[in-house]
Amino acid sequence: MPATTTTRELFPKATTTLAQVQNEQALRMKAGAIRSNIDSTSDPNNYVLVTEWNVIGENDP
Amino acid sequence: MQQTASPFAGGYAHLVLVASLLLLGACSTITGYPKSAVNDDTEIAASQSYFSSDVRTKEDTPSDTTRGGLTRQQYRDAVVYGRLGVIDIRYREFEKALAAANSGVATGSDLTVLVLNGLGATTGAAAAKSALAAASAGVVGAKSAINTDLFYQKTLPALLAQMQAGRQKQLVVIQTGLAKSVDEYPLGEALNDVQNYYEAGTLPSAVQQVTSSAGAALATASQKLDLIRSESFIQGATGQAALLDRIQKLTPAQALSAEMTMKPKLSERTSTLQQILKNQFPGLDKINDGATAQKFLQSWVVLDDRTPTYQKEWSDALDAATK
Repeated sequence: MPATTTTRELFPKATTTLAQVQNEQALRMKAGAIRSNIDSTSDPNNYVLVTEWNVIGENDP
Repeated sequence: MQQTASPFAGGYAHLVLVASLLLLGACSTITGYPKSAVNDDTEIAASQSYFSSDVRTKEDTPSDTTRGGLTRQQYRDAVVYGRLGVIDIRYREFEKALAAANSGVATGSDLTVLVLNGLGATTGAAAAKSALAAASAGVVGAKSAINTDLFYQKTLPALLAQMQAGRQKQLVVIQTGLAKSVDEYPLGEALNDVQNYYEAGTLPSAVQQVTSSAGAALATASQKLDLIRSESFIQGATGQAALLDRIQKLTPAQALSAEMTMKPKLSERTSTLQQILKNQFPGLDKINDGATAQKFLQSWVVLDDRTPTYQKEWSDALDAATK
């Protein structure tokens, strides 16, 4: 199973709409992310976009 | 040329066997702990009264007579220190047994291999050499089997340190409590803390403490890699999507060319972004194929800050790669 790495991006709710974050989510999927989820509840001030990426190692095909 | 069997070959084989047994037998006593200065069994027997089921009742009794003339506080302290003493004895036995299982075998087999190899190098008889080599290989094999147990090699020292730290922490709680009056820190509460002191010296507790610490450290480390997005970042989404489209249309050669142009500029980005890309591309410094270069550029462009300067850098690099 390939290793993965995760990015967390905080989008302030005061200046960002959920639709804009969904657009960012789609962009990451298009760029090759394995999965990307929007967490809109755990942080009252931010939408948290959590994206998982494959680690591209030296031994990968 | 035909080898002649040495008349001493059998003797060497026996010598080797005896040396091996002596060394392995001797190592079982090397544990790194001197013999205890007190008789542990006597100490434990003398403390049995502190473990009786009526210690709480005795502590509550108004009369000092039932406590052998001790005040409630003196009795509380005596029971607590008595139990701590026995727990410490049992803990040392436990620690000693764990250490013996580790260092005794490893050291013994190391020594045996050295002796066998030394004899093998100095003897002239081929049969003796063969016997010594076989014995040496056997010991190496045994040691290898033992050493595959990573618990003893790597994990145990960390767990022993964690147990000691946990016990020390709990001892501070108890000693702080014992400085208070018996009404503020009654025997019942003290005995709960004594039980926690015992549990801090167990392997499951040490594993749990190490796991908790690692989890907390990981959460802290992850926190540091959070990317904070501004309003201008969102506003740059359309431009960044167009750059991503261009990257995805590059040929492998063009992707390598764009990657070579952009990579020196990565050092100008935030350390968080640099770390994220290094995590995803451990071989970042030596990307030499177009497919990897393209994946690298794709990840970078969507996570990159979207300042006019950076967007122009991307645009120029892609123009140069595709002209």
